Amino acid sequence: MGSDLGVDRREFLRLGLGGFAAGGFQSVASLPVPRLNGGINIQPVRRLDPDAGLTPPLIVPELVDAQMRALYELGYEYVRITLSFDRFGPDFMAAIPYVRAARALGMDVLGIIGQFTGYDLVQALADPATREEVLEAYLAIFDTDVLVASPAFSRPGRFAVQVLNEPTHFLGISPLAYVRDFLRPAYYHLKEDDPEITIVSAAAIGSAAGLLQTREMIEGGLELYCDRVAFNLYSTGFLEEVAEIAEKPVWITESGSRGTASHRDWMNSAFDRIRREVPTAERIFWFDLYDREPEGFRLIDLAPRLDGSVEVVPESAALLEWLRSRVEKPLGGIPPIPYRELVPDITLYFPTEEDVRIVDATSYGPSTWRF
Amino acid sequence: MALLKASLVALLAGAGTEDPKYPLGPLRTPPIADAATPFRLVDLQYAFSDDGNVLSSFQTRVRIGTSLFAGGEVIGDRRGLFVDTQRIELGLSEENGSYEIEGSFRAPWFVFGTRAFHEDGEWAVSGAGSVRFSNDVELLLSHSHDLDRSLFSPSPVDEFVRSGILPPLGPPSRELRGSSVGLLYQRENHLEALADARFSRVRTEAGFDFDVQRYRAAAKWNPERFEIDGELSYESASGRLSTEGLTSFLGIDAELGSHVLARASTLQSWEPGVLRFEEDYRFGATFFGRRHRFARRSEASGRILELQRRANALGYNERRVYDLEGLRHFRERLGLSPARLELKQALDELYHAQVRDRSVLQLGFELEVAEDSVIGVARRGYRVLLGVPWPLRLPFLRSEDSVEFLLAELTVRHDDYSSGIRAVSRELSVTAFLNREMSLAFRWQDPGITPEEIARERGLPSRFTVSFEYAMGR
Repeated sequence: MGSDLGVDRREFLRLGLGGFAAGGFQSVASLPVPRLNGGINIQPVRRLDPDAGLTPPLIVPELVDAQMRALYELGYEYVRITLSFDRFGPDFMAAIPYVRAARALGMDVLGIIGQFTGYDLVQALADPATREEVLEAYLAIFDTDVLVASPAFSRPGRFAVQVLNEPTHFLGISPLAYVRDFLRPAYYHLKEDDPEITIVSAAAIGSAAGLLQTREMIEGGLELYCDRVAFNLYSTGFLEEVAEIAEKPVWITESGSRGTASHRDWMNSAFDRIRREVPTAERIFWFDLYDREPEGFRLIDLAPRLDGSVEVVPESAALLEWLRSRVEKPLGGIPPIPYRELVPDITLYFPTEEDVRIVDATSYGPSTWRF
Repeated sequence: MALLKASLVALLAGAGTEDPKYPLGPLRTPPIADAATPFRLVDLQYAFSDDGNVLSSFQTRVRIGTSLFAGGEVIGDRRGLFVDTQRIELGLSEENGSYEIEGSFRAPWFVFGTRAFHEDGEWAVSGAGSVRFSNDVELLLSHSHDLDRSLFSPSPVDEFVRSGILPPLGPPSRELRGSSVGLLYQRENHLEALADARFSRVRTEAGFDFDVQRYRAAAKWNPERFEIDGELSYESASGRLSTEGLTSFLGIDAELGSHVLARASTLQSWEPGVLRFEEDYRFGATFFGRRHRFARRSEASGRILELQRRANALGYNERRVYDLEGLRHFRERLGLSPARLELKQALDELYHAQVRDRSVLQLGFELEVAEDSVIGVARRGYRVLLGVPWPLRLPFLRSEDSVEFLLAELTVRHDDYSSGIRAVSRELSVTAFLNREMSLAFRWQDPGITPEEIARERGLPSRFTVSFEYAMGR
């Protein structure tokens, strides 16, 4: 678990040596890329092969690095990422560097306590015997202090959690059962461990059915057990209903349009409409930075090079250009602190011995994975 | 006990000579208008079910003298007692410390009923009634009021930290108060129309209130070889959960020849604000061993019309009904009335007409296609039934002498969840009708495993139920 900087990752994270490692902190005149482009969903991709195996490397550092660099250079303020339970396996561990690096770069992180496929997580949450240890492990790993990558960031990004995503659509859990049996217990356990943490309810699917599901969740007491109410919006058809239904502040945790040609227009017009017609909407997260489907929702593609590095291939060219133009304006021609100076080695944000120890202490340990 | 036994023995022996023949022999005309000396058993039901937990239920009712029914029930932890006369019905039940008191009074031109429910120190009361303008027109009124006005607020996290016990859930959404007004019109036997409106305030599980208004128009029309059933309703809710929606239902039963009944129905829900559109379709056909007759076009229907008008002229305030249980209670109430002897012949003739109109189901199937977008389920249901008549014959043969004897029914439902999981539920029942009043039934239900049960790692066990039912004068 060492690094070529002569310190281990645990110590690095504790001391916040990112900028220092790159040869000392930058000149105070240097500024980071301003964070003003809102939020985006990212996927904790650990390998590019479609059926990511369990042979080394479990997490390809260049993949994490490429996405973090794109987020930083595009000026995102906050990101949303699935912390896939995976019985604390590789998919869970893969989210660690994304969350820590983003927070070190000043981006707030909304981590979804979820799972890409299967019922392991909801079974763990439904069972009082495992619920507490699973949620504690989540917070112990992701909700810890992170030091900024540069003193130019006033603070590290905050960590918030979302309890599942689209539970009716992906898991077949009814809206009422979600509130009573999953959100409510999770709320008490998470607040017990960190009273300050922001708890975001699961969003329902972004369709008419999702609005009906949200209505049932609200009627079932959803707002008694969360700090923010989430919606996924892929249409502007129900904004009036969204504005009326929730009393607590709203986070639009997914929004976007399929087809790169429509991306810029969606971000300009639909996001504006959402802000205008849902005054309680605090945050909107574009869906998404990268996924495996070309010409769909993603902004970039990730292409492996022969030397092992990963090339970021712009796909949603018009929207990317617009996002870049927005961050360049406040810089007034002054070059921002380069990403590489802030994150000289992404593996320093990788899982630590302490992370493995936390996982090992649960009934799902011991972990045999090493990163 | 000896009297009960004597009653049963007499029933099993089949006193009287009224056709048709049942497995237990011919059935006598039920003494619906005759005084009991001192009492006569009219209902006896026992059921035993087991799904890992055993549940027994026992219900009985006796006629006492000339003008009273009294009964009792024990269903699991619920215990109840009731008494009925032609004009007054009273009931009291208790279950785990909750009490329910019911009462109604039937006057010549109105009926008023009330129900009070007491739980956790709070009462909920409701009243419903009707005002009769003529034999064919009634004004329907109801009002309910929950006196528990408490608002739920969840326990603070500190309390959970102190106790380590997850705080309890709030009470489910409930109607705080509701009022409805409606008009029911019955035109002879072939048309029934209802229009009503209901206004209610609902207190949600979350602790906030909203108002609901519902307007409904429904009709059942029975031209010669069809029965058409339709309903259209509009519902709106105000406040944070504001909605507006239309629901329509249309069902058509058609006689194909003399022994086959085909049925098709559809339920459509439309909520324009959120572009919600849900559909439910059912299709089926049934082959009857005897000539099929719609209840509203049967021989009995003419006697129902005649008897209802006569009863109302005597001030007994009765509505025309056509289902087996409804007709039984209709005859029973008139059999308790001071004019019971005067009505005895008409009551017996109605019973005999019902017997002559009896349906004998022998073969049938039904297909159900539905969707629930709120829980993301697409449903396909299949139901088949097979009846063996008495005297024993193959199920596809006709016989006007036959009565229902064995009836087996199998229902399989596939619920396909958007998560990719299919829950398959199955239900099989076999009923043996020993005669028109007495039956033995076996039912097996396997509810299937839903995604929520996968999440909880515990599925509902399958359940079997064995029951016996005796209902005099059914």
